[in-house]
Amino acid sequence: MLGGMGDKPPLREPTYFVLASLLDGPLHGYAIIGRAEQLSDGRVRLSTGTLYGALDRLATAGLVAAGPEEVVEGRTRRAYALTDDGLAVLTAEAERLQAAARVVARKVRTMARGRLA
Amino acid sequence: MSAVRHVYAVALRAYPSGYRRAHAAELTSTLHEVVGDPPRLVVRELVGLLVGGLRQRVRGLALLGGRHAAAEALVVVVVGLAFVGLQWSSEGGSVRPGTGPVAFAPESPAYSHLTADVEHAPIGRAVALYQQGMGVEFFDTPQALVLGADETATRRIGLATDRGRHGDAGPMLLSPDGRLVIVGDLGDGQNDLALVDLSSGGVRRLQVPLPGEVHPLAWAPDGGTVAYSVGDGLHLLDLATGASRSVPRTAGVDAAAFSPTAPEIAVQLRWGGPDVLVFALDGARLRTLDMRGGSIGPNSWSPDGRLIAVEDDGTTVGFVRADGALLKPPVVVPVPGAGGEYRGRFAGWAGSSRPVFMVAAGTAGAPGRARLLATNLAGGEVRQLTKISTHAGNEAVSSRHFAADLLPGAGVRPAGDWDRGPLPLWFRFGVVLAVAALSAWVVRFAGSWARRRERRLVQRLAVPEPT
Repeated sequence: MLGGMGDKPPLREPTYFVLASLLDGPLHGYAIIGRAEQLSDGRVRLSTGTLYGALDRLATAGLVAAGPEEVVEGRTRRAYALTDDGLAVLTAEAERLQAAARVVARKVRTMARGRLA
Repeated sequence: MSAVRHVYAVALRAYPSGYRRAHAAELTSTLHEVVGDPPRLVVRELVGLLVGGLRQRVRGLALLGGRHAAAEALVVVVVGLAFVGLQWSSEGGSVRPGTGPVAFAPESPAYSHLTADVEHAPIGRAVALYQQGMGVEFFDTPQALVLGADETATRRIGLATDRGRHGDAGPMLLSPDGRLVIVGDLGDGQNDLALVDLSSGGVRRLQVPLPGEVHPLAWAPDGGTVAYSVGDGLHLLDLATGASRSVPRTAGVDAAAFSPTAPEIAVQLRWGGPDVLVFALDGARLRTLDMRGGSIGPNSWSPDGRLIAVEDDGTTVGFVRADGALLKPPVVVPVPGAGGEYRGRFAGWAGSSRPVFMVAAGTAGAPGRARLLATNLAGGEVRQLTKISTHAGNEAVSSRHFAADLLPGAGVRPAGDWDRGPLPLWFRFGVVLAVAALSAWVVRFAGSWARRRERRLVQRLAVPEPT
């Protein structure tokens, strides 16, 4: 069985990719939307409302840190960075997904061998 | 601002004001980068803002704490609805008195606890005044009601209803022109006759000279004098001055009727035998009429002054000459539909030879309707003017009075919705309280749900234990 799967619910895909988009360093809102879409092969297309709802919850849980508000080229921006706790949660979720994928892959391989024999 | 920008600005208002103050600039900048400049209308963005705003509000509710939010919401709802209710109560509901011909609705309104008091919502002119409902053990339901003469409207006479006792409304009478109701006293120490103006809802109290029960008995055709009983006899009240004078030798007076054509009044005494005494308005006794055991009412005297109607056993109404001469042949009219459980009563005159009767259940348990019928002394056509539902038995109609000047020429108007005036204050406050209680419960439930949801979300984002 997948260890720890029943302990807490998995991250939702948008939350997972918001955290993943910050692995390379702090980003502001619009950049996070683009990076999450890129990392998810276009599956996760965050609307502005959804993004800020997710960032708000992640900041409250201490998984991301919001930087100071600044104005760049007439636009108000704030950079968000992954915290150590955020990295730990993201890593744990990646390992869980990896383990889940491994279970299925192993089973599929066994079935394939059975058909060949 | 372009239309699209305006749409986004409106959607942003889905967020709580505190959140908007802290994040609107950043959120708007990101939004503009997503939708371009000039902005395109992207439905996904619009829905995202609305849902995001709503979620933020739910989150705020959870952070505030259910009890605090519920209390705040309760206060807001109660104060807001009470304000709206009170505002509503002070508007509308009045009918202006007309001057033209009057009409009855084909079916008068069914009994209701939600009819407004005429004191709060004037009705103008009324064509009929009656009591509906009666006392049932501890659940007395009598109401004094008037039917509008000019519109399909009805009102409660609150003062007459409140002065009731033992399942009956207070003693009352309708003026000949239908603009006033006078209410007596069943010995509750009021010692007055209260005049209710149906055009304004105003009440004028006129003191009577003796203590005890005060019963208005008849209204003079010119509208200026009311005959009433108090203490031990008949008194005449001048409405202009408020002064009363007694009519001698009228002890035990039970009923009276003014002559429409002469300064005379017919008086019936409880122990006076089969006779009715006719007095001049200055108190002089003029003659005695043999009523053959029947009884008279306030509208008994015919408009031409010739006849007086006499009620007997509830199946027929007889007529006697007002001058005391014998009527040959005697005129006794069977009341259409009367008999068995249904009793016919004399209601008034639609013309000098056109009596009007009301036929209603004589016992409380008898179902059906009270019907107002205009007929002719010579027989022939019977015309139904209106009917009143008394289907539940305890909604029986009694103490009926009709505006003597308005009955002649009264027609029947097309059926319409009944104007009962604004809903009573107690009902509106009840609704306000019920809505407030329900809102408080919903808010508490929503707060509790939001807190559970927030806990689940935070739990999902918890840092894993090191292994």
